[in-house]
Amino acid sequence: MAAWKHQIEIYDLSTWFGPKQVLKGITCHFSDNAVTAIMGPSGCGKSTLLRTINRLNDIIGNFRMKGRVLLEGEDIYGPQANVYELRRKIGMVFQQPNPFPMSVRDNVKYGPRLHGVKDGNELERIVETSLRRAALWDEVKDCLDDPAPNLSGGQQQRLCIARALSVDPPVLLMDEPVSSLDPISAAKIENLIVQLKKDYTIIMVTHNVQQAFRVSDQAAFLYLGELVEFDKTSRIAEAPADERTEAFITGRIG
Amino acid sequence: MGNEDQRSGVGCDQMVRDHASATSDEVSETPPSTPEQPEIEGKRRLLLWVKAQLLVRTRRELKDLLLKIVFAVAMLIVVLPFFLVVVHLAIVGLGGLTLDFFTTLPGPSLAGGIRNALVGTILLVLVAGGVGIPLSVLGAVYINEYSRPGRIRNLVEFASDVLAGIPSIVIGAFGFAFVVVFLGVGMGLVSGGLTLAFMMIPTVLRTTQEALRQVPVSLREASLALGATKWTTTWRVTIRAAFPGIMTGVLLSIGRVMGETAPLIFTSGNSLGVPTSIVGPASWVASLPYTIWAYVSDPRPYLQVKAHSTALALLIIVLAVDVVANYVSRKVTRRLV
Repeated sequence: MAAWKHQIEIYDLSTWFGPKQVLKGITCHFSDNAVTAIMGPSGCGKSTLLRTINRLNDIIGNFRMKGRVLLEGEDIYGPQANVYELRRKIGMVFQQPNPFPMSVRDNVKYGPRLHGVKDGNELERIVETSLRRAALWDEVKDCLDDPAPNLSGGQQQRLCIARALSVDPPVLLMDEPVSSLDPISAAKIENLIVQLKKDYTIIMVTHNVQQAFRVSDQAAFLYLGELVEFDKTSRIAEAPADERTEAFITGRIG
Repeated sequence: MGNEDQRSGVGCDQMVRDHASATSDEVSETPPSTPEQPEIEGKRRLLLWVKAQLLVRTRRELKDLLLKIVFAVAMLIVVLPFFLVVVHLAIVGLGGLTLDFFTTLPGPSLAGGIRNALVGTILLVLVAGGVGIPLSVLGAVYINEYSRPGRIRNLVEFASDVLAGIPSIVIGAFGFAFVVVFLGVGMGLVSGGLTLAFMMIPTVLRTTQEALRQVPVSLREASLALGATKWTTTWRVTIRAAFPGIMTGVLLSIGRVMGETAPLIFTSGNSLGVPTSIVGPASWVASLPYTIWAYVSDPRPYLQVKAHSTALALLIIVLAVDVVANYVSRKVTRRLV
């Protein structure tokens, strides 16, 4: 038994961009092998919270943070932390599909190559398993060498999921993964997310309440940088404890 | 009135005249128009079209028409010089454009071809590009991907904008003072190439920056989020995505420096042969624009013809480079998101 209870644990996290405080003292533990939805109106710090978990905020010059973020019990902002290894363990899918301008195959190979996989057969195996897990293999197996930007939006987004899965991360972050897609592609990806939670810990940002209720097991509600509510999704859906949460899920704010 | 709309085969002036002359009584008496119109022959059709274009009923329409003519004339005046240049060069110089013209060196009294200038221009562009392109691309990558926005970045961008605006003769004088004299390289291929590189650097720097700026931030983030280092992300994703834009800038600047005379006057020397060394007088090198200038300034009539042939050749080469640049940029913009 490991010394940690959850893969991702956050203690008293506050962040700033320049003088502006974005997150205010957030403490939460994301359950393993479950989907956690982070809900909240625009500008409440959902994406910042997500990007703090894989240290993607570091590339923004005036970012500061206080508090601790633990991955498998290790502080990812600690002096020992290796940011490249950390990001291998925490995959990320973005709001806009963003395949690299190369072939479908090379998009999936990009990650494993970074982390030292050189063997061609091994790479091909990773390409196939990743695309299968992202439910894209049957659609692209005959056009693996076509440029990825030629795929449809929904296919591109599943390719991005496959690319994130290619380095076998235990945790997957998703920043509004379906909000730029048509309803049918969105439904496919929602189903995929539900399937993927068997093997991955998924943290998903969304501003769509219905989607959060459909997909997630746990939900967090952020409002103006504060963690207002964090509980089982079914509990929040039935009886929100805070009136701000209720206002949001009934559509009065947001 | 409704049946008038069906007479699509007639020029619209016909309709308008009917309309103008028809009182409300006459309209009802107008015989129904036959659906099949007689074929209007080409000449008459054109005439009708011109009449329709010139038909004016009110002051407002007159003003509209006059302004249309003013704009059209302005457009003609703008594009006319290009065609005049091409036509003039073709009339005088096309006869001289034989294969021999490109493959033979100038002989006694400058009879012969321009192989020296053709080879010289290619060598000069190779030196200029070999020095200028990597420097400016790497510099642009540093400015855009690594440096923080702020005073230093602004200073570099300002400096390269100023450099791009400096007259080429000043660059030539600087090349002479700095490369030829101060660095002691002496005239020739190296000095000429370096001076042309000074002309290329600001253009390539700025176009590369622009191309890098067009690459969505989310592509870089996707690479970083997979655990890539800054360098891997820059090299394998950002530069790759910006490559068509960078390539376009490079080709356009090559096309531009190919036609520059002023930077070469004091720096490249001139030669009737092909350079055999990279230092000393053996490295003196001819170039197409320099040759045009030298031949045009010569009173002998057959050299005037050679100058025009050379100019035509240069024009064709530069146009070809531009067309390739255009093709590259268009083809690859379609492939990127």
